[in-house]
Parts: sequence; C-alpha cells; structure tokens
Amino acid sequence: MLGAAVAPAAPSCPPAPRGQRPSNPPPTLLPPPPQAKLRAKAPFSQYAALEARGAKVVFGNPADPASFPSGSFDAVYDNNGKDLDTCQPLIDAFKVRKRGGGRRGGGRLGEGVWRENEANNVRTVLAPNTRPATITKHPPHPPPPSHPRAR
Amino acid sequence: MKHYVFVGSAGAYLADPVEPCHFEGDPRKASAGHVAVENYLASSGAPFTVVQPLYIYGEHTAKDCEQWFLDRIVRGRPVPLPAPGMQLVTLSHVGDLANLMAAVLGNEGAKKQHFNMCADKAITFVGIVDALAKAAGVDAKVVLYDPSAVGLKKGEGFPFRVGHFFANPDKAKRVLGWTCEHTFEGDAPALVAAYMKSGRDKKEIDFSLDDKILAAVSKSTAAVAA
Repeated sequence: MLGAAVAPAAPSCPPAPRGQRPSNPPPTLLPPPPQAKLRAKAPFSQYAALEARGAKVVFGNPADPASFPSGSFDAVYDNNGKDLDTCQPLIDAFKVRKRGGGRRGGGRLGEGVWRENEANNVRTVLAPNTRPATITKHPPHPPPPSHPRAR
Repeated sequence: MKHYVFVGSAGAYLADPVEPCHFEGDPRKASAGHVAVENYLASSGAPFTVVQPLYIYGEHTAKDCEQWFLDRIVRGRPVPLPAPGMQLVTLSHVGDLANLMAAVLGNEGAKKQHFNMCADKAITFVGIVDALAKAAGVDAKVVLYDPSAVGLKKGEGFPFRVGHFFANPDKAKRVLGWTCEHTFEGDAPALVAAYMKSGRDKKEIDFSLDDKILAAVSKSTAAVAA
C-alpha cells in the first residue's frame, strides 16, 4: 500500500465571494513509509509541491489506526486500498463513535456508528494514494435530475 | 466525518462478452477485494461513495499507460497487440478523474452511489497506436497475436486486459454535474512531449517478451505459408 493524504479541518469556512469557488481546508495525505524512498520517486516526489500549497503529509500505515493523523475530518478518500484488510481500519477509525455502540443515528457496525451532518465545515482526508490526483474544489451541486436510465 | 469516498475499480465488474460496456449496477466479481470493501461500506450505514476508474493517463500518474506504447513507437519497434486490435478501452485523463472525485464532496446525491470514472470516448488498441504515432510524427507497425497461442501468463506482454474494457460515465454527468474535458487523441501531442521530456526514450527497456511474441508470430506465419 502506498500512502494516504489528509487535510486539516478549518474551524469554519466563510462563504466565498460571488463568482468564486468556496475555499476548503487543504488536504492531509497519508502515505506509507519509507518516507525518503517514496519522496524520491515520481509521482510522490511532487509531495513537496503540495506541501508548499498547504497540504500536510503524514507518513503512516493505513492498516494501523495508531499511525493516522490526529484531528477530525469531514471526508476521507481511500485511493489505494484493494481489500477489506487494508481498508477497514481506515473506515472504522473515522466513524463517529458513541458510548456502548448504540444504534441511534445511523447504521451500526462493530463499536462505531455512522452519523451524518455532525460537522458544518468540509474537511478532507485523502487516503492511500497510488493514483495521485489533483483535487479541485467545486461549489455544492444541485440535486440530480431524474433519468430513465439511472441505475 | 461526513463522507467516505472509496476509489474502487471498474475492473471489479464481471466481464460481459455480449454487452461489454459497463454501467453502474452491473454485476460485480464477488471474489474481488474491492467488492468486499463496497459491501462493508454498504452494510455499515456509512455515508459512502464508490468511484470506479479504468485506465488512467496524464501527469503524475503512477502506472504506465501511454508510455508502454511510446517505448516501442519512438524506437521504431513493432507494437505487439492482442488480436484483433479493435478491442475498446476507455482511457481516462487524471485531471478529469480528479474533477469527478472533487465533485463528490458536498453532494448529497452522491452518497451510497457508485460512479464510473472514465473518458467519454472509448478508443481501440490500434487507435492508441495511431494517435501516438501521428503525434510523434512517425509510422508505427502493429503486429497482432493470439495471447493464448504465444504462451504468455495472464498480464504479460501488454499493459491492459486483452479484451474490451470500457464503461459509461453518464451517471457522473447526471448526478455530479461532471464533464469530461479530455480526449486521448487530443492529448496525444502533450503525452508524447511529456514522454520525451522525461528522457524515457533514451532509457533501456526490456523487450524480451515482445521478442518472444514476435518470434511466435513469425513462426506461425511461416507455418501457414508452408
């Protein structure tokens, strides 16, 4: 598994001026070590350019929650995991946890409970990234129109 | 955490030899690791979205795509393609895919949904060679072969699946408002320029599998002629 990214969450996101896209907090990436070897290799050699633009790079093991960046995040992108063994720790780690694993507020799985709308601002966690992509920001989208071929 | 976005793979679709174009909701391979993750997310009640890319090309991508073809084209080597060479693939520019992934954020309609991440237009294997050769200003020679007759292992000798592998991205347009801004043919000149700038045209490439394929084709052709 090769790396992940996570963006720190801003305390609030002021509305963007008319005609401009809203400003979201920069993402945090979570790539796996070894750091020096990875940073020397394309495309991961571009991490420095991302950091210069505000992104944070935290090296850690996506299967080891102890190595995850601290803080809360509004969104997680797992761009590398290929099976449940490597993805489940990240999924479970960012659940909203309730005491006793109650059923209120969302579907239950293990000790965690997913609960939506608990945050007002958008934070981005970009997970393991073997297919680096430039994440651009877009304003909220309108509800989708119905379509006869929708699946 | 409001949204979990899993980048799965269109490769987890079951291949359909009758109607090969993949749409969201088509049967998935139960044995695929990606599908186990998708099922876990669905059963968890998580506010998830699954995006399913195909072959990705463009700046700062980690896997070879057009580079495999250019390794041969710029050196004047034959390009061995699994017959008949008319297989369709959707090659996806990394910028288009990044825009699609970003469009998921803040979109309630994206939750608990799968989206194909691919180009509007499918292209044939031969079409890839033609587009790159034209952009490089050279003629390319294509050699078609039967992978099963050459004795190659799965995944050897060619960077893609040997059959059709393409999908329809219309759902992302309808639900996310995403648009595809790139075509492979339109991007070909920039891809050739990036390849040459990287210096890869001067690097030593292992063509031993190509030579094995070409020898098998030559032997087969000679047998038919006799």
